Amino acid sequence: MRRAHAKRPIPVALVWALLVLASIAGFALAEGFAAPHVAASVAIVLAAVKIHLVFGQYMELGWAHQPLRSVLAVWLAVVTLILLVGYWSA
Amino acid sequence: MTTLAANAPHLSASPAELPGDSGVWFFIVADMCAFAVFFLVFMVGRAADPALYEASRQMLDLRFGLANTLILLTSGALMAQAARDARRGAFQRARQMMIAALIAGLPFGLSKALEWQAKFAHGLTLTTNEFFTYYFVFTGIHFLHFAIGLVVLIMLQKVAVDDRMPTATRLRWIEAGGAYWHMVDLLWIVLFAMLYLLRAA
Amino acid sequence: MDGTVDTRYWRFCAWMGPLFVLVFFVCWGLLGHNFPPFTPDTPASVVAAYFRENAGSVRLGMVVAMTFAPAYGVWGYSIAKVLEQVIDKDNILVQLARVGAAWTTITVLVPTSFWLTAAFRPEALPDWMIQMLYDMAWLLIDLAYAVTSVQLFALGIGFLADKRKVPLVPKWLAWYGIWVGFMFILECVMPYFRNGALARSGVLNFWIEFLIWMVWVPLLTVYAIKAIGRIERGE
Repeated sequence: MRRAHAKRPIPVALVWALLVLASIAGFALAEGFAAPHVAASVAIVLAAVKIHLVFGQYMELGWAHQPLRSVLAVWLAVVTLILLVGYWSA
Repeated sequence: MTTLAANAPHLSASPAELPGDSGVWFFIVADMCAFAVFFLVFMVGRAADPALYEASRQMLDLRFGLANTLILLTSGALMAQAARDARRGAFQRARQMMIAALIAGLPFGLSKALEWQAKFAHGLTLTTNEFFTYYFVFTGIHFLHFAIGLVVLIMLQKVAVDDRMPTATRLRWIEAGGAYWHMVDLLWIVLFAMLYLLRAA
Repeated sequence: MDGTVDTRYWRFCAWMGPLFVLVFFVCWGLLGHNFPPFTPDTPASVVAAYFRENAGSVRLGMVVAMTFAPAYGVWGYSIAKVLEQVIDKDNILVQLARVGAAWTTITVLVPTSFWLTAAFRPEALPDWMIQMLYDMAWLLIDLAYAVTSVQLFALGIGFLADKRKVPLVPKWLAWYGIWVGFMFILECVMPYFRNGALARSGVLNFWIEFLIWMVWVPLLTVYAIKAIGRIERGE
């Protein structure tokens, strides 16, 4: 999956629609449509997915320059872990 | 997908190619690391006093958070399109897209001003508690990035059609400025989730 | 740019930067109990007791730190000489890089004299006065960040204009300096906090802010020394 869209540019409008949907989903969950722990964890994962899309498509790294992609992937993994571990250890 | 890729070979940079400018990328990564430390500091604080953070979080208006997210994502989409247009050599269209990105991004400033004003009106300030300290400092620094991004967009739309500049140079700056603008999006994505969406049990 | 640049003393002056960082760290930082500093909510009696019990070492630390403060300015001038080989010497960025370094020397020198004052006759001063001198010195040294930002921005923007195939100072380092200058802005909120990450002793406003600046100096020095060799070879 990651390879599939890592190699190819997705139309910007489609990327935008996915990002908007993910944002609204995170918002709806936080507004109370799920148990708090589920809602928060899903919101974090959705944020990570959105950032992966921004890296790959908006920033045009999905199909170019492996070293920078790796650096940003590590950043994303670290930030996601900070949020998840921080949330669950509270 | 296959058709799209076949139709858009011009969009594909080689795996070794870095879109934009290596120096600007260094700045972006350094800045993102600084924000990662901000996120860590916030989450450590939250873990120490979840009740305070949750009570404070409930004083935020999630609609502002969502609106800000949608504004930045829309502006980011227009900027991404501008970079793709520039890569095709359509610099005039890239310029139009960047002006659109600028206009689409402006309401973020308004929304932020309204949101902060509402907080001040309720007596919530930088020193109210730890949550609001981080809320004002991190969103304030993020806003500064946004304001600089607007200036970058204003300069880039000029660069796009500056015939004195080689097209490769113009593309490099459009992609570099675009990467910066997308960093503003993605840092907000984390801030939105972290400040607004982490509902405690 | 005419191929015969007089680079005498440039290297010596450039080495003053790392020397300044080292001396400042040991004397101001360790001997003066500023690395890390007392958190602002430390009771006045604790700060005062430290100054009374360690007056000798604080005095020594501050005297040496003040003696070496100009080393930062000397270093800054040598880096500005390298910058002159990138952009025209009449370019205002060269002047700003120099004046930013010179001003930074002052903003190190003056607060250091406040800590020295606190250690001069601490037995005769009330606790609150020693605390006030300590606070005053910290407020000045932190909030004077913008002075150093002038140097950071001027050098960063200036070195980015290098048209050489291999620039004298790499682009990433120029951008790093700009980023450091930008990060300093966090100090603006430092006076609002007596503890936590944004206080003068906190992870953001002390550990990160000071370390990113203290790393920048030797890094830039390494490239400046290399650059001087290249300038001498007419590159």
